[in-house]
Amino acid sequence: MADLRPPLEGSPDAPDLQDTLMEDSPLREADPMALEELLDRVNDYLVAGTPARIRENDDALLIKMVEGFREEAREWVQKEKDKPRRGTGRKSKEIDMSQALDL
Amino acid sequence: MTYPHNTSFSRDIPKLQLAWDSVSSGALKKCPRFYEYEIIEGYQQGRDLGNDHTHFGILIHCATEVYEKERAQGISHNDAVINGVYYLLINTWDFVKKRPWISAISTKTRKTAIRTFILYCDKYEDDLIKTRILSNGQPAIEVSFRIDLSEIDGSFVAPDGNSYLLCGHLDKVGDDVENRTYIPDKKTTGYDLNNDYFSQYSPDNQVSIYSLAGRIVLLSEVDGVIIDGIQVLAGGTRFARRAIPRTEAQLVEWLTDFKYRLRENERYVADNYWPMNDKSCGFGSMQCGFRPICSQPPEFRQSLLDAFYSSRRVWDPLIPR
Repeated sequence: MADLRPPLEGSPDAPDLQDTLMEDSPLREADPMALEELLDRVNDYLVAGTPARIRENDDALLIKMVEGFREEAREWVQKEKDKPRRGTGRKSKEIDMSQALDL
Repeated sequence: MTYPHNTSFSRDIPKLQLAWDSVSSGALKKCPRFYEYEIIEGYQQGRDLGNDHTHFGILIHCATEVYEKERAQGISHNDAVINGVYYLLINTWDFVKKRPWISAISTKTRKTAIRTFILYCDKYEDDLIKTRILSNGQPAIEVSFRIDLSEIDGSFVAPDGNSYLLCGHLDKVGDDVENRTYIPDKKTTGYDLNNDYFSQYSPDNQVSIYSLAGRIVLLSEVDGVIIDGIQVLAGGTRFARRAIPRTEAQLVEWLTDFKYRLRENERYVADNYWPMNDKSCGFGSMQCGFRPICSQPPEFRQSLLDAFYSSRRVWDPLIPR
């Protein structure tokens, strides 16, 4: 199966995830879908008793969901970095008694 | 109502537990009365915050088990992540009520479970600690152990003549590039992953048991239990990893202390009376689930237990997962 990690920016050979969806796929029509919409779609299938539909079209819905969560995480990390740091005017007096592993 | 026999208890002395794990030993250490209600009698505390914390942790644990087993079979990272997400979607759905799992904790929900799982797998995709492959070709995930403590110390024998056993399941056994062996264990929390957070694991009952089990079961030096801390917030997730070492002397001390606990429990069994530890009741979200019972006069407690803790379960450390 093709490596479905997000394409490297600027790479001419990077597969475009959108193009992997079939033309008549409802997911393609709804691009881009928010995570909540994807979860609602999953819930609809589960209410209908058709969980297998979640994996239709070579897991297109799940692929979008995973990428959606990753994108949300990237945005959150950026927001955290952009937050002004609160200074207390005092240096931390924590004593590091642990064996931190750089793993 | 009759309940199935708990195989970890003595057949000759019904309330005497012989096979212990971190849950049951932890319950006894917390408070003998709590142990009696939760483990011996199996009273369930019903739906509360504690259950949703536990349920969230179990979801992450099981989904990463799916991921680890698939990776060991050569399935790609992304495919294994997708399969784990599907597992979570199905296992956070109530097919009877036709609705998703609803958590009472705003940061530990179905959505944050999926997010946490994906980000954890991405974080440790190229983990320097590789999951060990056992001789049967299976990954060392959910490695069960059962240790006869009388083989370590002959005095670990119960009044019925049977040995005391120590049981459990190691999340994972892994080795780094220098062949040092570690036992990683995932912990989800809302707390900052700082020194204060990690300091709670020394001393800690479960870490000591895993360290002991690792040395005995793996027949090799275990360099330590590793806590993979996962801080779950409303908007994101943070990760931090810390080794929690135990020396041989510390493990010997743990065994000595555990022997004292078992002797105390033998007395409780003989007297059919488990005293309360009223310093362990806690308050707020950390309150013991049986405080509503213990706070009442003794003559009212059984009817309250029958009315509000009617769901029972058998916690048997000998039953494999």
